[in-house]
Amino acid sequence: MNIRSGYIYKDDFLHRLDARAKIFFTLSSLLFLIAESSSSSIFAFLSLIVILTFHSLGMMGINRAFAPVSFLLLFIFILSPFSCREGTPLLMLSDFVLVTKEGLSYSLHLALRLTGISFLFSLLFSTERMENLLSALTSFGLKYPISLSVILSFSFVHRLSLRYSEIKDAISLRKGGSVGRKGILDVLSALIVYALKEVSSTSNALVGKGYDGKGKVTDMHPLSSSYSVVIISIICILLPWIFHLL
Amino acid sequence: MLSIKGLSFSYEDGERIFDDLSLSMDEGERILILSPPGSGKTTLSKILSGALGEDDGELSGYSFSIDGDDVLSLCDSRRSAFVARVSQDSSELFVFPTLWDEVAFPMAARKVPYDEIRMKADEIIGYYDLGKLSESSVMELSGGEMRRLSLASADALSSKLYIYDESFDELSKGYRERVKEIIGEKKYAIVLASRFLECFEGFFDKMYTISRGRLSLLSSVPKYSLSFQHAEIEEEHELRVENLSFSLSHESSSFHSALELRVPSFSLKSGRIKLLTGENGSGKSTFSKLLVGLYQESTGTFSLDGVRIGSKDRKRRISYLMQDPFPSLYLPRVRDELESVSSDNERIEEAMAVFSLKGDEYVSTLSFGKAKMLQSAIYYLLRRPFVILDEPDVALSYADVEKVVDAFLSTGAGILLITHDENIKKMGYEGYTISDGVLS
Amino acid sequence: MNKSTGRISLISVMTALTVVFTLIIRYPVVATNGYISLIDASIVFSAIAFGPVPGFLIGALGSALSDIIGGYALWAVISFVVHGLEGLLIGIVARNGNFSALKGVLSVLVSLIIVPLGYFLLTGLFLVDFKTSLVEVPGNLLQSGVGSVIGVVLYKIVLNSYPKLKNMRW
Repeated sequence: MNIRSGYIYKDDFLHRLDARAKIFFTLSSLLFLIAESSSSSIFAFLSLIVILTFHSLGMMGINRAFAPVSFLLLFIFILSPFSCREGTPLLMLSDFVLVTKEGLSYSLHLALRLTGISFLFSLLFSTERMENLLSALTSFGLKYPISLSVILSFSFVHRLSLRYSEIKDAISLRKGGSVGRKGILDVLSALIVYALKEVSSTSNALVGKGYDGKGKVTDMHPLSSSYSVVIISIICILLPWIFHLL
Repeated sequence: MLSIKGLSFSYEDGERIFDDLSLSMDEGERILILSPPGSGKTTLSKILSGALGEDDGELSGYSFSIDGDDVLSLCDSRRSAFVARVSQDSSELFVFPTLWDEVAFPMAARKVPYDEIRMKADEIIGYYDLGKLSESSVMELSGGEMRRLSLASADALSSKLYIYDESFDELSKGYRERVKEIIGEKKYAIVLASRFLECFEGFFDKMYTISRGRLSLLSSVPKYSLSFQHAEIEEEHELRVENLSFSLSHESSSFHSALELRVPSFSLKSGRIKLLTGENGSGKSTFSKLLVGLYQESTGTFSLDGVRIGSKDRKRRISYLMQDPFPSLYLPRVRDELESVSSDNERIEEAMAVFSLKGDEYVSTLSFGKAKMLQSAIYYLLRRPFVILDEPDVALSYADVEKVVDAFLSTGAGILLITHDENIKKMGYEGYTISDGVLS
Repeated sequence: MNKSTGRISLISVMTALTVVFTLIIRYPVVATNGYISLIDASIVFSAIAFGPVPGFLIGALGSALSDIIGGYALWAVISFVVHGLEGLLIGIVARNGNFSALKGVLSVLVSLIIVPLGYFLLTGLFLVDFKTSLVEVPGNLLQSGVGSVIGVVLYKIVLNSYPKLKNMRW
């Protein structure tokens, strides 16, 4: 697992696309997927997204997008007999209508929508660094201290997970074998105490680097500020809705 | 001209560290403060850089000025333009996930324009040969690389006074020379060290030590000699390792090759001390972890008194005191920790006396040195037949190292002492060295 | 300690701790996803220890980041809202004075109600439909129940070991 952010490096068109444009695209597409009633439009849009994912991230990208929703997708179809009981029957058990055509198409619609949303977000976070996404959000008005908190938390995720292993090993060695069931509380509380100490040393470190905790600093990952970004953003916002017309 | 006058400081528990300390430096001067671990060097550096203040103890009204500016009147974030501290524990000052951000941030905080930051950060990173790692995660760096990174991000501060706390550790000779060059360019430089390194020869204008709460001039490097007592052996045991081989690949960074370790033969007997030495990263802690059963060996046999012993039993028979004592501590107070390993009150009182511990102190607020003593006390009470001490001399003064080793010897344990320290190496104990992945 | 940088540090470290509790520390249990995450333990701890605003931020950011890093990116926005609310409410419950057993029970109840209900409603509204989102409720109940109890217990333990915790409230 890439502790860094779910971002996977590759130098292609999608990765280089401006972060703001991607955010616009994601939001617009999300709205489209939720509002759109035609399954075929959603399917066409989904095909585009899947192709983009495959192009930029390969089979791994497809897996990453499918895995989190596979369980729900299964249930959508398991529960489809219970939706739209009135309608053209497709599957019958003696006199009992199990599945209707409407029920199945309803389930399909849900499934396509869910899959689309998963691919959408997976694509966003796999093709853009967190620092750039935060820069984009900051340009939309997100306060810098929050953006900084998110960036710093990535370094602590790594550090705290290393520390967790160290503590688990050290305590299990001291106890002469394994940590034991109640031992997990010992490990977790020791980890929390370490984290709390890190809070004050991080605060000192920030001050020691000349930051007073308020206000802005120079953007270390500036996004380009050309007109083309505006044009591309507009295209990104309109793109999903083209599928509505199909 | 730099001047500090009348600095007195005591920790909350009343322990008085400095008593009317003063120091003055001319521009371009480089001084060395040479003093054993635990004597207050890091505390001094933290007070001067502002990391420790009135909230942490009793700090007297002292004066601190650099080139005519009163440092104490500056707001805390402006202080870094005057005083920069390079911490002994490199990761203490790291906050960003990537190396480049870590070096760029001090400049960004001063609102330097982006293009200038880009140029200067690349320059500084290049100077320390960290260019290839610039997008790497900070946690994937080796000890030496982290050391260089902490120096690089300090350079990005463009400060006046630089305090280097044990910054030469873990650096190869080549980088030590480079650090000396950099130090030479600083306006005021103070180096803190607990051991006089070869590369220090002829480099400093003045040498001080901390005694009785003040700085006093040293005219020559103090000589130390240590001695450990003889063990009282009740039972004789021997731990042997034959034909061990192990390999560990660093999955995260592609710049580290896989670590291979081969141990043809190793033995440790009760009541005896054996040393384990080797360069940083050579595999000393890896061997220790194999010995104690944390890692699984590829091939090899471990035997105790001639009988094969598996990892489960080794965990119960070997005490491994890791360099950082804190991961093994988890109870609220010192007394709670000791009581969790022994129900014999007499022995607990004895341990507290030997290791100079106070029962009602909170574990979470112990200094590194005291935590190390607590760790030692806990394992002393556990009385396992074999003990691995991983570089105790880094955190403890020689007197305390002697106390710890003597305590374990009095339980008849066989001790594997891992160290870099020249004075300990000179003591004449048998030992093993790891080089090129082989322990011999 | 500088108040502003102290706050930034608190949020970053505890958000990271939440991610670690969620993704790294796993206890395999049957349930829905195959494991129980301790996410609620960390959020409940932070909300009780630091207050409503940090509780909200740590809950929201911690859960959203866990989803993004862990490969469940689509849940990020929903988790942000649900766990953010959880942290906010528990922070309010635990505010002022000593942390009594009553407050502990209330905190657990907040988790037990908000988390499964929140996911049920928001997933049902935006991702699938209510029939399907019902499926997740038992798993979430178990997870938030166990997690919140552990969070309360951890608070007591850590307060005992690290008295300075009291000074870290916003």
